[in-house]
Amino acid sequence: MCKAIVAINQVTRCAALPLGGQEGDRTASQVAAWISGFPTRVGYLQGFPEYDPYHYGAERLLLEGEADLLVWVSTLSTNPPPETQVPTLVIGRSGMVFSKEPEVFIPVGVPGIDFSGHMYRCDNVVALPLYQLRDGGLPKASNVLKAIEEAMGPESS
Amino acid sequence: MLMKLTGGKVYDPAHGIDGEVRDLYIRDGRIIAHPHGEAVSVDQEFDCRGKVIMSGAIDMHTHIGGGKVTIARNLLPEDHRNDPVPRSGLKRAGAGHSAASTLTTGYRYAEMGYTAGFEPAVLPINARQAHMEMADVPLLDVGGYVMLGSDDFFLRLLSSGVDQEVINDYVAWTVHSSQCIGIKVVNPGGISAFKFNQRSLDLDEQHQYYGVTPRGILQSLTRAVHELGIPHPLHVHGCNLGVPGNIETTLNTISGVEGLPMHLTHIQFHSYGTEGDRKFSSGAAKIAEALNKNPNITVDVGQILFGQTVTASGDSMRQYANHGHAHPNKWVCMDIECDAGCGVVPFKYRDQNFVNALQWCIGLEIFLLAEDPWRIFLTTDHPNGAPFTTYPHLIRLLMDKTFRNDRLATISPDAAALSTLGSIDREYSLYEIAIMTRAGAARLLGLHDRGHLGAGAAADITVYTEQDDKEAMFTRPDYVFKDGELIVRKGEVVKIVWGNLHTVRPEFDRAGIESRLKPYFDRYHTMAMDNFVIRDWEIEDDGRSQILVHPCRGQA
Repeated sequence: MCKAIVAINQVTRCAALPLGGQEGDRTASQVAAWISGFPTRVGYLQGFPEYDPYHYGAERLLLEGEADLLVWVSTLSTNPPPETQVPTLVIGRSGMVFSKEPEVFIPVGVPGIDFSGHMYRCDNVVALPLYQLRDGGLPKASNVLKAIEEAMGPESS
Repeated sequence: MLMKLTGGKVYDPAHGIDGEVRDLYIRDGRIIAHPHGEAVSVDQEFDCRGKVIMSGAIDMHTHIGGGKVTIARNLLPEDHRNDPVPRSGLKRAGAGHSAASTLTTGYRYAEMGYTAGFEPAVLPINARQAHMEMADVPLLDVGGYVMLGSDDFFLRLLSSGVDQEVINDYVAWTVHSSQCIGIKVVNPGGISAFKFNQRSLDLDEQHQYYGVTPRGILQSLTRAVHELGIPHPLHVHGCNLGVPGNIETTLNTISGVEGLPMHLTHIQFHSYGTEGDRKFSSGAAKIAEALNKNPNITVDVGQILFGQTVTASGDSMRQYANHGHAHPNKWVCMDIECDAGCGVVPFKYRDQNFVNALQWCIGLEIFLLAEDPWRIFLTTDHPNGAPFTTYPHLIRLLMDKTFRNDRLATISPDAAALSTLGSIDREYSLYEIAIMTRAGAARLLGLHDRGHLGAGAAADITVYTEQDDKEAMFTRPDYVFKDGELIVRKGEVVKIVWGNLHTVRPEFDRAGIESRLKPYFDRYHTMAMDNFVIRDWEIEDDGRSQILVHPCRGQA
């Protein structure tokens, strides 16, 4: 389709509007790209970001027993993480229902309901503000992650 | 806490100080006058004897944030792989070279003694992304110029012949809403015209739908910026970027604003003649002459340097026209809603390529023929002409004639033969470099407390060891201070701080313009007007960045 659009643009104007993604994956991909230079599925094993959507795809890492721990961060959807044999830590939207209980579940609030924030639209271009609508007393996922990082000491940061 | 920088050779052009040995005192993030009277107890002293002291450098045109930069990042994994940046010390991992990751961008600027960088192509509808990215650039103050001139609302206003007052209100509303410090126009009207399948739009050519011309757009916007008292003149990326013969358009653009202040950006790309067998020649002498004669005009150069880079621009029309040069062969062009567009084309400048070699000469000729260093600024239009990490090399080219001529001897001989560069003896002084990269830039943007070392200035300070090899000197400062904190020692980051966001907020009739904008947003836009406006909490709530509002003329 891209080739068709390029060909048509030689004589007139033509564009495609790719739409897709939900549950914050567009937002995660954008932030990953500006922080690391690459979209999601990045490994930091060598100390620097390496992009490899095959080798660092979570599904494959879990299936082939290459992962020791699954950390599942999901603040928008209540869908549970994939079932796996390795210990699972979930920082997830309060109300998430599990068929297999994870080792650790830290329920958190939802951006755009419990917290303000930002989120990309499904066009992957425009970011919109999210507003806080209530104070549900739930922690923010980013604060949970920061607290874990701090508890692990300066070497981890 | 009182800090003292003892015995350095100070270059502070804002106060006419040209290499005088002085002591500097810093308290609470600010430079203070020499403390007299009471027993002065210095908490920390830095021995700067034999060293050169300047304020922190300011890059007034660098693409460090916004959608197009992240498109470039996503487009070029091979470029990142050639410059992987491992985690080390306080620095997190990232990717370097042309479209560096945000964190790496901040570290590398600071390690070269830069303490501020301004993103020149903030799309109004996507300003939020530019701010989110810039907020993840550590150690650096930031700010943005918001793009107008190809947006549907403005073109409708202009073609309907509204009073200038209404345009002024819209311009002011956009600066406020996007939290920016200046107004940029890119290929005036041309980005929009490209959506209507016009493939070029010269200064007096009509947009086929709105019936307006680039000249009319520039006159309206320069006037708006001037009447609103925004310190930074309209920031203009002119028509016909990169087109041989565009010198005529550029000269007409200068005369077209009839004496109002205007900044012409990456002028090198707009200074091409059509002389010679290959119909491509240097227009540098004419451009420099026009610059020297017109005190209302400022320029930054957009120097090219040889090697791989990526061009990222709001000028979708010209980027599309140049996509055949993409190296590696992949590119992205976008039309963006009612607002604008963008194009990302990777590019390799080659020293044996006639055109590229002559571009290199043209940029340097402009630098060396421009008489007033207060009105010309050192940029590569990062990353379009070269990555910002080449600045020390560029400074050496300007300061060291022998080095420059040695380089000239290695480029395409046909290009070198057509350039006057080898006959120009001028060498920039440290004082002039300090003007171009500090004092002049701060003055141009209205940053009253940056770019100088007087009492009351923010303590953004760079200390270098003076060396004959100016590239080495400017690559690795001894100390860099950001708002009074030591952030770099011997070229290495020793502390992470987060910079400020510089803005202006001109006065305007909000109710009046919003009564026009609200129905327009409801009818045509994909977001509500309220969501378009970036609130202070979006910038400041993470506790890192602080918004600094600089006064417009006439504001207290």
